[in-house]
Amino acid sequence: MQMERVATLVQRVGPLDIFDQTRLPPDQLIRQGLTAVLALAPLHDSAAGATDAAEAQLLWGGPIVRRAAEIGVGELPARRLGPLGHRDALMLALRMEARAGGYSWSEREAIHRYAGEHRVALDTELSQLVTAAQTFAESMERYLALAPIWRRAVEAGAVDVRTAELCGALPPAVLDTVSGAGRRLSFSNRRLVLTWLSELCGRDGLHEPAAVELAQNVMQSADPLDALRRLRYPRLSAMEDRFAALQRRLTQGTPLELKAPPEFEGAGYEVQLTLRSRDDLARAIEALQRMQEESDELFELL
Amino acid sequence: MNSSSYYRNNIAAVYIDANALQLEPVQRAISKLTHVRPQTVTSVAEIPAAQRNLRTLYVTSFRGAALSACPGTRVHRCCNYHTVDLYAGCPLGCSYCIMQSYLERSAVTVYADPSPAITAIRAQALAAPEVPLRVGSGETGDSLLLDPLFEITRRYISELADLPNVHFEAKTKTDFVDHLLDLEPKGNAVIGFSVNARQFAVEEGASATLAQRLDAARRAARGGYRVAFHFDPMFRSGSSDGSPAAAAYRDVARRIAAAVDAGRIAWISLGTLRYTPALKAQIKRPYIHDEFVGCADGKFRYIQRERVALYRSVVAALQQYLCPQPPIYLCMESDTVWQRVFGWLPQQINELEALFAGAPLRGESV
Repeated sequence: MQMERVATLVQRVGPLDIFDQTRLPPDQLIRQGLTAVLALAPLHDSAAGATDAAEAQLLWGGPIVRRAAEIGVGELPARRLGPLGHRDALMLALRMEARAGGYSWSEREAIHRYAGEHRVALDTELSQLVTAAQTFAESMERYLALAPIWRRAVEAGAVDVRTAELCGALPPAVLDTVSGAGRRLSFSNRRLVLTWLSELCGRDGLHEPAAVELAQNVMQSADPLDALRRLRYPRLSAMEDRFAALQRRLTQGTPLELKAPPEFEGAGYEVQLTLRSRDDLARAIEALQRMQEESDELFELL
Repeated sequence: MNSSSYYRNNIAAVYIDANALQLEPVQRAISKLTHVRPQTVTSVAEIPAAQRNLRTLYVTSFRGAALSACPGTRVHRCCNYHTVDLYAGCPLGCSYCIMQSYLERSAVTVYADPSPAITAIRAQALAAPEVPLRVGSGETGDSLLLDPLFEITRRYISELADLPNVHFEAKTKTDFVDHLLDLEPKGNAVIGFSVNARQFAVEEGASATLAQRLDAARRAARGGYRVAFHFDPMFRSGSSDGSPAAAAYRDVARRIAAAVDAGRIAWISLGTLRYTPALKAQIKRPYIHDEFVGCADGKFRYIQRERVALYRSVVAALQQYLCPQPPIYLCMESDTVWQRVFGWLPQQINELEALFAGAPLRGESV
């Protein structure tokens, strides 16, 4: 290890300067030279059998070097290595960065591009360093297949790749409407809203103007999720309304509580009694008798 | 469907495991596949990535479990069915097929040595001769699509024919039955046909038409086989006019009765469309926009009362048209649905008692 002039290092920032400046050490540590040891090496294209540049290039730490220059640090610790192939250089940079599973989509895209340009195989070892799983190549293939507007939404954390894939046919203005609505939706609710909008557009053959109008109307309603669910599941919603009406009629003011199985998928209803007195018991028996008389309507729902 | 032209148009490459090369079914297939030059490999990994698709055959000797209980589905009634791997992967291209979600990027695998599976079936059947053993080869692929090439099903049928408690079923969406007709003895072998209403033919890719399948069923029955019909998956709606499909399925029941002597029908199963969340993403067809609910096994199905209504309607038609009445059962349905359709659980229905005897409810400890 030796101390290298920051002015020189800035000039040697190489093609692996692909990481966001999110993990800079505090300025105080940079001033004291207490950063990770930077690595310099000539990059060697093993496939072409040629060294890209005779001069050593910085393999990792571009943001640190630039920040050091900004705050007037003169030297930083670095190690000079012999010529490295692009795969070894990329692996070294990923190990130095040490954020497996924590890279943003734009960083992943940059890693993927670098690997593609320099014919670096996206094998298990590399994938583990990027995604902490074996899914880097597959996830990038899916991400890159998205339209730019959906890639931006994924990059911004507004939706996940799977939702973007499912909803990719929605007009961009619908995504803007849902993402930009003043009302803040949680991540999972936004996912549901987009999915149901996409399914509704598919079901009803809605194209841009109608789809956007639908999205605007839904987002302006008091409960967008409920409004959309009613449109997406009209028969199930009607069953729920019917059950709610029956529930009110049969149990309101009684010590009974009546519960249906979720989405009416199940064997039967659950009745709960809360008895605090003999009167409660009498009212419960009376309510149960009324329930028996109207049970056909109840059991029709299952 | 014409098997020769189907193979010519749909099989682009054949890779044969070196240890399977001398097997009789493989030699037979090689002699019939004149339009491709089979290549020998030592493992599936040697197949080039560009050819890992359903237009490629990978022929191997036996791997894995010889005989398995049908995976069934959690907390739903299981019909005590057993499966053997014969052909894994299917190029017919049904839009609802679960195999899309995991086998699309693989070659169709042919397990060309049936000996271990036949040995396992025989052992299980002989160990409990009073227990009916239903075994099918159509779990991971179509039983008969490639069978005129390899003729592996003949081995199963002839080598199990002496066991009175074994009911071996070859299940298909093709009409490729003619290569089996002259086989004797047939024992209890069953040729099973998936059937669907004509308006949903578009969902079944390159499968034979309903008329072709029913004609094949007629030939199989006349040739001495028992036949089975599987209304699976049944669609509630999603046809171009959006109308409920019960009437169309009742018509299928009528056409079955017209095609085949009911006395030759071993069983009939019914199952409505169901899908896993992973499969949902792959289905781009209008029927996916119907209303589905999450069930206890993690799959999505039509609303329970709508499934019940569809089943009741079709069961009533089958009971009306078919005499004697064959066993009719539901595939992967809950006790509640069984009760609402039939009024009983399968173990309480005389005709089904033998099929379901000892069948656990999946998810129950046995």
